[in-house]
Amino acid sequence: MDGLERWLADVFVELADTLTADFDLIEFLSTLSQCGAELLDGPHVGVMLSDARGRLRHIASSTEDMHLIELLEIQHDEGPCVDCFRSGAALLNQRLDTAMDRWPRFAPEARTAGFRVVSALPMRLRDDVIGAMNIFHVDSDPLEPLDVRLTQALADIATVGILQQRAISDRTELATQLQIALNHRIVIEQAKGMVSALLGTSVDDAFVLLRSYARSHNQQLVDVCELVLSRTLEARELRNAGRGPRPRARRAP
Amino acid sequence: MVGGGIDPGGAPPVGRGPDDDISMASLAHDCLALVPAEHLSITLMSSGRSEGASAASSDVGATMAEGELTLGEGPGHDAYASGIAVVVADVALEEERWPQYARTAEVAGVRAVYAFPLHIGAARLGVLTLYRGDAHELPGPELALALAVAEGLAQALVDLQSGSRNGSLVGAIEDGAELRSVVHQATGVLAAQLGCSVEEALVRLRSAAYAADRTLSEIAVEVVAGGLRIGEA
Repeated sequence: MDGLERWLADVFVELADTLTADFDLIEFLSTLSQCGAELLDGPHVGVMLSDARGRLRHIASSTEDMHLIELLEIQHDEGPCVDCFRSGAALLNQRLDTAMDRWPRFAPEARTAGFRVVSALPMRLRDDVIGAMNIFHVDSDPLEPLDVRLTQALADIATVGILQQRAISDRTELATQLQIALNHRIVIEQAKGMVSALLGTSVDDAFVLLRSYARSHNQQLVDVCELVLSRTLEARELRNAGRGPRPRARRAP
Repeated sequence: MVGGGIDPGGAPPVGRGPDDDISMASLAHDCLALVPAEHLSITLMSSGRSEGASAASSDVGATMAEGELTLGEGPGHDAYASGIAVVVADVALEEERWPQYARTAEVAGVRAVYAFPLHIGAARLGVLTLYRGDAHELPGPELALALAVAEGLAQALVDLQSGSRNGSLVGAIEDGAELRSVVHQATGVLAAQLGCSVEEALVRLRSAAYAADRTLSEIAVEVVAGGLRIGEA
């Protein structure tokens, strides 16, 4: 289980990062989504959280395709994440071709986007369900029982991360935290657009450059994005310094 | 849009239909109907300077906002600078934090102050500040509602500056959460192409959508794909 060990090591390192004061919720959840996608070998993974008015909001995903499909769920107010959030129960290995009655708008569009089998796991905070983690497969392989346990652990870790941030920023409610996180998402999207236009890359490549720069300089992704948008950091600087290794300061000597 | 002083608004517009003009003052009144407060002010800022237009729902709101601008301290100031909502249940207990602001509030008969940044990503438009005459901890559902109103207000303000005639507050609150990431990416693309601020790019993108009678998403997809260039004004 070489892959599993590597995954666990990555997740532990990410979780340890939440203990630092400059923890970024979106960065953390994006990384967890990507770790999950790697571990499960193929599917797209995304996280949706409820704002305090009970509306689901997209927070993070392993790919841009997943991001779009989650927005589709929110728009149509139907889909695995919506059902999972409302019932509080895991929804496992639902085939989209047999779910046309259940999700008449979402299922056909998700199939057109290339997805075949979907699952959603609840993110629980004591008695409340605060969101759900989506796992969408482009092939027909179901989640195995071990996959389900690992993914639920992933969803629980994500919840711990959110709680951790809440504890650090005392006196601010989860609703405020979510608002900040959602605005950070917008900052990141704006910066992706700006960098892609300035460097002539795709928005996905622009994101990779921003993220690599943030990691190699030990800065938060959203801070780097703000610097680019205010023209304090020139976009071409991202190319020069994007390939450094990520510092792992807490590793024992 | 008027610059300088803060318009106390006057009487709320009665029976305003969808075809009537939306102004800062009418947005202020629309906000007040939704939030748990007696007074409010909307202060527009530009790069941290309070040179933009502002509005208030009442004289108390106008007095508090003007006081804060003059003093250079207070919850709105902090919310704008940090991008984080500042909830003050009783400003009389905050004399150490904002000594002069606390005195202004006492004179105006204000106890609770809640300030919400009007930010859309890196675009910092201003601040929405709510005032109450009693000390009041803002419970979770009320805070969530006020956050949603502030989010919608930020969108409505950009609509207003873009010359849209249909940028109602309620519509903006409903739409705000659904804005696709491509719209935000297009804002960044446009700021790069025009060499302008993110704030200005937001307005220019919407103006282009209204001028072409197309949705924001449609225009944004083309801007990001490089097929549409929105020229200098």
